[in-house]
Amino acid sequence: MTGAVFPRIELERVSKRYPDGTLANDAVDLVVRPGEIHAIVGENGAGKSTVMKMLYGLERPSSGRIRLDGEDISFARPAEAIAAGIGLVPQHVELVTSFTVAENIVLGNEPRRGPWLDRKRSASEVAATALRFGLDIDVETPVSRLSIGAQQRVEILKTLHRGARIVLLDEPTAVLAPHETRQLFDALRRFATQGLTVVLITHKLAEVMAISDRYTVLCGGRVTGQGATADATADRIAQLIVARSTSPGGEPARTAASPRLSAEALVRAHGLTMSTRGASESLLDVSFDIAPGEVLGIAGVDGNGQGALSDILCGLVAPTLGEATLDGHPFAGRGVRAARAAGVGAISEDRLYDGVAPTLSVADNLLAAIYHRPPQSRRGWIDAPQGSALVSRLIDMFGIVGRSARTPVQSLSGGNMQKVVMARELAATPRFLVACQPTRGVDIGAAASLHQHLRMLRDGGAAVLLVSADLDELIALSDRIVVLFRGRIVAHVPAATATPALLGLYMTGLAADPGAQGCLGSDFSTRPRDETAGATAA
Amino acid sequence: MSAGLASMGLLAAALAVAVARSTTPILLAALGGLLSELGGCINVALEGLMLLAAFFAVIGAWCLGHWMPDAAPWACACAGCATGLLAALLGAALLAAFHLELGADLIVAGIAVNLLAEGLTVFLLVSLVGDKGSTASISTPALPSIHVPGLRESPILDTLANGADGRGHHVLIYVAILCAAALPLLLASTRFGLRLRAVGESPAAARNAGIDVKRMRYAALLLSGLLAGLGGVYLSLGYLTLFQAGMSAGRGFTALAVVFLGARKPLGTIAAAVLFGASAVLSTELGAMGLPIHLVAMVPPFITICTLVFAGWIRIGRHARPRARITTTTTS
Amino acid sequence: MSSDTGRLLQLLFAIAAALLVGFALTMCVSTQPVQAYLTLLTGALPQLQYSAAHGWEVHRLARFGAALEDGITLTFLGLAVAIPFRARQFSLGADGALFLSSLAGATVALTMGGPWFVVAPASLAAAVLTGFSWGALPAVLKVRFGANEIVTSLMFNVIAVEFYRLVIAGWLRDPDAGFLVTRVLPSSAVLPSLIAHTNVSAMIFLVPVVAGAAELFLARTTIGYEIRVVGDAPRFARRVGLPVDRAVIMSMAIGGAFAALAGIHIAHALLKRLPVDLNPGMGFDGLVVALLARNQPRAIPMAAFLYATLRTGALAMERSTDVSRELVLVIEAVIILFILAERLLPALRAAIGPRLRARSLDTASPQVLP
Repeated sequence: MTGAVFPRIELERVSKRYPDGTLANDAVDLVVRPGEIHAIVGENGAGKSTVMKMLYGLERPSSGRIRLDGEDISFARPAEAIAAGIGLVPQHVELVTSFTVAENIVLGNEPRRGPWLDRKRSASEVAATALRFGLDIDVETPVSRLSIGAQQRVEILKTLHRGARIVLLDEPTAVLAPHETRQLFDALRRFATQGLTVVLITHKLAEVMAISDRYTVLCGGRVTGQGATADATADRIAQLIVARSTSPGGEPARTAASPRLSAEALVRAHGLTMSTRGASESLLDVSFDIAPGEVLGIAGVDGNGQGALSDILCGLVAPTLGEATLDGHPFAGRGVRAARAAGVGAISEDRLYDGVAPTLSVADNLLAAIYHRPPQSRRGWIDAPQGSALVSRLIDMFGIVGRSARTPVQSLSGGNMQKVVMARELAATPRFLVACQPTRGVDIGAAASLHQHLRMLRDGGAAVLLVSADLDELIALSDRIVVLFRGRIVAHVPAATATPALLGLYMTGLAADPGAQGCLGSDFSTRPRDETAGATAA
Repeated sequence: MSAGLASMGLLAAALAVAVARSTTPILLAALGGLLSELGGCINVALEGLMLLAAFFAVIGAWCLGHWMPDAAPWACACAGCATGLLAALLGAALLAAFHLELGADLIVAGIAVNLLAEGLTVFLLVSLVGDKGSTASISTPALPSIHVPGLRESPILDTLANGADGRGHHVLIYVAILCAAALPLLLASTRFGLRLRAVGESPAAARNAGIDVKRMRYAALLLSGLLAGLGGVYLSLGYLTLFQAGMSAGRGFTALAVVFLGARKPLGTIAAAVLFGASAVLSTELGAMGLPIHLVAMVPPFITICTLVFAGWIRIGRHARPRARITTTTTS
Repeated sequence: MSSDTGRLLQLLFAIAAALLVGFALTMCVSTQPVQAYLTLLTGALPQLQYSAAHGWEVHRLARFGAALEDGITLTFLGLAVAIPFRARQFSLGADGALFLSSLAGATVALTMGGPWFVVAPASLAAAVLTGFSWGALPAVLKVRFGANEIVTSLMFNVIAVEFYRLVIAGWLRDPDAGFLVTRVLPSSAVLPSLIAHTNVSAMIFLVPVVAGAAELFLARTTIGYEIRVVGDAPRFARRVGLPVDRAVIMSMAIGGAFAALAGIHIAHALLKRLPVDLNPGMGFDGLVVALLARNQPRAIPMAAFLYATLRTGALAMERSTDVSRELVLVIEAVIILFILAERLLPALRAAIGPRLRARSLDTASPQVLP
C-alpha cells in the first residue's frame, strides 16, 4: 500500500441511530487507505448501506467522527460529498431513462454556450473521461436502450466525470451478468492503479476475495472483523458475516422434523418462466414440488428471480411459460382472486405498499382476504359481529399490539404490522402460503411468534414456500432449500445439512448445480468440493 | 375555375384564422400545463389561473387609465397585461406553496384554487365595478394587434396574416406562436429544460446531481401560471375587451385534456391544442349553419372524450394495461 | 395528541383562517364590513321576536327555509362527490348526473298518469337509474382506456347539460309559460312543504337517512369495503385480489345515484318544474361540501348545512349590504386549502414547541435498512 500520511477515509466510533430507534451502526471503526479497493461486507441489514449513506451526505452520524484525508467532515447533502470528491454508484440505477448518457452525466453541471446547452462539448468531455478510465460507452445513446450493466457503467462514469477520487459502489454486481462483472472488476483495478480509492459495499464473498485489497465485516451494525484480503479465507470471512447466531451452539436452530404428510405433492410448479423486456428479474424453467406439511425455502440474492416467482405464484402476474397447480388445480396466470379461491395465500415482500392499507384500521386489514366469503359477508352485506369476533380472535391469537382494532394499521410497529399481514393470510386458511421476507424489519419476539404460526400452518397440512434473505430463518424453517441465481435454480439441498456458507456459495454463483430442480423426486445437489473457494466470480 | 379556387382559398384562410384565434388561449394554457407536467406537478388550476389573469388584466388596465387619464390605450393595456400575469403568478404561487411546503394534495388544491378564482373574481367584480355579469360598463382597451403590411396584392395571404377584417392578429397570438416554437427549444436545448425534465422523470437522479428539486417544481408551477395567465389576458384584453364572470369557460380544463393527449411531447401538445381550437370553431360554424345549438355545443366535449379514449386505446396496444395519466396521485 | 383531535384542530384552524381572510377582503371593499360579516354568519337563521301584542313570533322563516332546502340539496351533492373520492376517483360529474336524472324523473312524472304512490316511485327510480348509469360512464372509460376521469367527467357534464336543454326546449316545454320551462309537475309527483312559505319537504328527513345509508354502505357492504381499500391502497388492493375495476366503476355510479337524489329534490320539491336555464355548477358545491367533510358521509350533512347557512347568509348579506355573495366561495376555498395542508399541524407544532413522543420501538438485531 502507498504510504500516505493520512488514510483516505476514516470512521472513528461512528454510530447511527434512526429516529424510530433502529441502531444501524454501533461504534464502527473503519479505515480506508488511499488507492486501495476496500470491501465492506455483511448481510442485508448489517449496516453497510448506512455507512455509505453517511459518507455520501445522505445521513449524518449520531455520534463518532468521519475523517477524509485526516480532516473531519460532516456532509449535509450529497452535493457537498460530490464537491469533496466522493462519488456514489447506487445499487439501483438512478438515471433519467429518456436522456442520453451524456445528458445524464452532465446533469447538474451542464456545459453551456450562451443560453444553450453545448451538446457537442458535453459529448466530447464525457467521451474523454470514458476513454481515460477505459469505460466502453457510447455517450449519445439514450439510457433506456442500454443493458443494466451498461447503465451501471454510466453511473460509474458519472462519478468519475464529476471528479470523484473516491468511488463508493453499492452492491454493484447484484444485477450484472458474469462477463459484465469481469468487465467491472477490470475497470475497478484500473481505477485503483490510477490512484482512485474504491469502496465496495457487498455481501458477495466472491467479490471480496476477487477484487478487494482489504475488507471490513459488519454484522448487526458492528465491525466483526477487518484486514487484508490476501491474509483471509472465504470461510473465515463467511463466519464473521454470520457472527451472530440464533442458538448457543453456533448452528442455526433446526426445527423438529416436519410432518410431511404425504409423498404426493400438494403444490406443483413446472417450467415457470418469466421473460421481461430489459428487466433484471426473470425466471427460467423453474420447477418444484411441495408436499403437504412441508416448507420449501427459496434462497437467493435479492433480484435473482424471487420477485417474479412470488408474483406469479400469488396470481398477480402471468408466467410467460409454465404452470403451477394446487391439488391438481392450476392457479397461475388466472388472477389473484382465482389463486386465492384455489387456496393460495401470499405475504408480500414490500409490507408498506403491498401488504397493508395504511390508513385503514387493523380490523379492516385483517378481513381483507376473507371479507367476501361467508360467514364474513353474505350477498354483499358484511356481518359486523362476525367480523369483530374474528378480529378479536386474530388479535389474541397473534398477539397484535395496538391501541385498538380500529387504529390505523400504519401506527403499529413493524412487527405488529407483519403480524396483521400473517393473521390476514392465515384467516383465509390457505393450503399454500407464499411467504416473502416474513420477518424482515421485525423484532425478535414478533419474529419468533411469526415462525410459530408458520409452523402451525405447516403442521396443519399446508404447503409453504418461504423466500427469505435471512439464511438462518430459511434453514431453521425449511425442509428443503432451493437456491435461485439469475432466475434459475442452481441448487437443491436438504435443510438439515445446509449452512449459510454453503448456501452463500450457490447464491453468489461460486458454485452451481445445473439442472437442479426442486421437485420431490429430484436428487439433491452434491456439495461442491471446495467450499472455501477463493476463485474469481463465475 | 380559379375564382372558385380563390374563394375556397379565402374561406380556408378565414377558417384558419378563426382556428388560430380560438386555439391561442388553449394553447398557452396547455403549454403551461405541459411544463408543469414535465416537471412532475400536474396543474389542475389552469382554469382558475386564466380567470384570475383575465379579471385582473381588465382591472389593471382600467386603473391605469383612471389614475393617468393621459396615458395611451396601449400603455393601459400593457399595465393590464402585467397585472393579469401577476395575479396568475400569485395564484400559482399559492398552489405551489400549499403543495410543496404544506403537503396539500396537488389535484385537490388545484381544484380549490379554481374555486377561489371563481369566487374572488366575481366578488371583486361586483365590489369594484358594481355589475355581477361583466365589466361592460367600464371601457377597457385591448392589447394591440399587429398588422402585416404589403399583402394587399394576395388576398389569401392577407387574410392569413391579417384576418378577415384586415386589422391584423392580436399580439398575443404571435406570442403564442413564439411560445409554441420556443418551448420545444427550451425543453430540449437549455439547462433549465434538461433539469426540469430530470426532476419530473426521476427526482432521485436530479437530487443526486445536486439539483434542488423543490425549487424546480416551484419554477414549473409558476411558469405554468404565467402561461395560463397569458391565455387569460388574451381573453379579456383581446377580441373581447371586457371580463365576464366565468370567462374561461372550461378552456383551462380543455388545456388539461390537451396535455394528456399530447403524451408529454411539445409537438403533440400543440397538435392537440389546434385540434380543440378547431373543434370549437367547428361547433360555431355548425351553429351558424342552423343546426340546433344544443347539439352543436355537445360537439367539442364529445371530440375531447373520443380523442382521450382513442389515445388510451392506442396505448393499450403497446402495453399490458393503461395507466391513468395523473402523475402525482396515481390510482391503480 | 391523537390524530382525531389533531384533525379537529386543523379544521377549526382552517375555518378560523378562512373567516379571517374573508373579513380582510370584506374590509377592503365594504363600508360596513362588520355588519356585512355578521349578516353572512347569521343571515340564514330565523328571527324570534317577542312583542306584547302578538307574543313570540318567528320572522325570516322563508330565508331559513331556503337554507334548509339548500342544505338538503348539498347533502346529496356532497355524497355524490364523496363516494368516488373515497375510491380516489376525482370524478366531477355530479352536475351532469343531476341534470339528466332530474330530466328523467320529470319526464316520467309528466307523462305517466296515476296516483302518487305510482308516479313518485317511478320518477325516483327513473332518476336514480339514470344517475347511476351516467355516473358509471367516465369510470368505464377510465378502466378500459385509462381516460383521465377529471377531464371526461367534465366533458360529460357539458354533454348532459346540453342534452337537458335540448329536450326541454324541444319537447318538454310548457307552451303557456313565458320562458323556456317544463310544465308544472303533477301534484302526484310533487312533495308538499312542511314549513309554511318554504319548500322544505319531507326530504329533510331523508338527509340523515341517506347519509347514514351511505356510511353504512361504506362500512358494511363488500362493495363499500372495496371502495375504501382501493381508495387507500390500490396496489395492496390488487395484491389481495380485490376487484379494483369494479370498485372504481361502482364508486362513480353510486355517486351518480346520489346526484340523482339532488336532482329529484330540485325538480320535485323546490322548483316543481324544470327550467332550461337551471344553473350548472352545483356539482362544484357538492365538491366543496365533500372536501369540508373530508369525504366522510356522516359528516356531510353537517358540512352541507354549514355551507348552506353561509350561502344563504351571503345572499342576505348581498341584499342588505354592498358585499357580494361570492365571498363565500373564497372562504370555502381557503378552508379547503387549509384542510388539505397535511404538514400544517407539524409545522405549527414545530413553531410552537417540539415535543418528542416515545413510540413503541422494534429493538434491532439486525434491522433491514432502507
